[in-house]
Amino acid sequence: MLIQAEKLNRIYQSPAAAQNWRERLQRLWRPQLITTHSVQDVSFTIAAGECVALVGPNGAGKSTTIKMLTGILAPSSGRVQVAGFDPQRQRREYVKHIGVVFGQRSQLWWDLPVQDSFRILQALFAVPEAVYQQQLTLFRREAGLDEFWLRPVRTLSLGQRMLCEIATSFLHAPAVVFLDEPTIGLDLEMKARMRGLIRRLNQQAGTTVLITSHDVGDIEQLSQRMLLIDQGQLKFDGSLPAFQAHAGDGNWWAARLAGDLQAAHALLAGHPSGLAVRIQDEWLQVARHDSLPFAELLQLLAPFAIHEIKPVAQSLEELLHRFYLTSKAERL
Amino acid sequence: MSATLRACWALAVANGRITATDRKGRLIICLGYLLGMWLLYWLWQGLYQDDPQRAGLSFARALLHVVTAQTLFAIITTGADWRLAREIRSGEVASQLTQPMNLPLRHGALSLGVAGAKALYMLPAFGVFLLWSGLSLTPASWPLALLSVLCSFSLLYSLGFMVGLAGFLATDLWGITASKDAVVQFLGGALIPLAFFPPTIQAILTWLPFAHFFNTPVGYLTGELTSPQALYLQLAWVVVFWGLAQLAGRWVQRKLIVFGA
Repeated sequence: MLIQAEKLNRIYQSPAAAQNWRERLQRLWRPQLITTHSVQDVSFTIAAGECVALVGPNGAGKSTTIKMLTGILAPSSGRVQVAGFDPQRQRREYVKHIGVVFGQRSQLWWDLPVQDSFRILQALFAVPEAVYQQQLTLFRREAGLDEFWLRPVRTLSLGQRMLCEIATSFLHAPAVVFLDEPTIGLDLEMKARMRGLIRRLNQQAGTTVLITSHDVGDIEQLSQRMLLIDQGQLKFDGSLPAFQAHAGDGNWWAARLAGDLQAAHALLAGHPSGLAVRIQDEWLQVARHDSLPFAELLQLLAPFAIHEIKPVAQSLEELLHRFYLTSKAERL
Repeated sequence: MSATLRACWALAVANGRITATDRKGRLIICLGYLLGMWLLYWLWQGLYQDDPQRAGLSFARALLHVVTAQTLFAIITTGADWRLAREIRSGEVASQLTQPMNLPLRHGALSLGVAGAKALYMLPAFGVFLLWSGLSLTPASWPLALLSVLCSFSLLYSLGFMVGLAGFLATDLWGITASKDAVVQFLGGALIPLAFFPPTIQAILTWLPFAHFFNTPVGYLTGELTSPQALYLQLAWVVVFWGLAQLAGRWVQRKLIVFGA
């Protein structure tokens, strides 16, 4: 396995706010600290060449996990190993084998042309000229870097800059690339180019990619597997269809009727298949299952004058949203 | 050239280019610098009006010392403290840990680039002032003088790097950096030559790092110093300061990695 995280924990301690002067004075000598578990007992493995999405609501612990994997934050307990390295202890050697993009930070030089930033990173990562030229040819073809290759970074649009950031993270042909919110704030065209570039680099070069994003499109189009973190805990680890089966409530038929909705509901609820039936707005919904074939459903609903009938599939966004809401409600 | 040296060179050249391409800024700095040197000329002439010799120095020698030291200060003050503090406050310093480079070395290379660029446009202005005032640099040995200037840069940079760590504590560094600059200029011999201090204080400042910020390199550049002894002492302080900067760099890294600051 290329990435191994074993019972990762990250605890933060912050001073508790004093309510009055007496408490303020007392805490000068005896500070009262609040302990927050940012990440709790998170374990997973990622094989070489996988593209995995790390998802979760804001404050779930995604960025903390990425920071621990990239070696810029030490776990409070637990063990991380990436490409055979301990990210904290062997940081200087380890970072030569990884690429990192933090959506809010830049590896580029604001006042210099794009090509100069690439040359500086080539020197920093000691990339041999042949590898540099090979990677550059790929980036120019896939990301169209030629459009802005000679322009100072400060004159680039956010999308162009992010394309360059992603390209730089792959410049030294790393074994694994960590992308933290790479498509934040981008328009649809730029997102498509960005995803195309990441997909191509993941598939062609076999680079392992771990991506965090709130954009469901990134998850659906790039990753084969999803790690869902909430309240610092790993709540799900598996493929997208597996998540849909795990978090979703299945597929439904939705019918809009001219006749009495309540009577139709009662009729279907009494059907021997015992399938779930519900009313949502003006739609009567019944779970899709072989025990109630479509033809039979049409026959049963015919007396109620069907205006429209359609299958209802739950989107990943809807499922994730519901998952986060349920989790939040449980917390409260 | 080793990979580390190549990386340092790339960083220095890049930062030097950024500093040098600010044409308007360059012109304003040079004009301001010449005005400052002109004011120093009249100030020191006023000080020497009643007596042609003070503290064993003639007007010409005292002026040459002060303008050379001020020029050196202008060139080798590269804002490492401000840069590091800004990176600490913005969190950029954490993302630099994803690059295979030692933090003090990275900032050292960036500072060297700034100093190189400033030297390119300030030394001609210094030359113009020397011509106008009829002064000239007469070092006994240019290699010794240049090595001493490099040591002076190293000392000032290391101090700046350590001061920049205040970015963890304060949002505004002005008070801290202004105090640092005042101390190194005054006790380092950039405001007035150390010859004006009482002999005991002079001896103490020579053994401490202070004299080696400006007095030693200026001594070599003006020909006041000829033996390499002062340079040995300066080199020893460079090793100490560089060691302290490395410790400070490790502290930053530990603070970021362990405490997640």
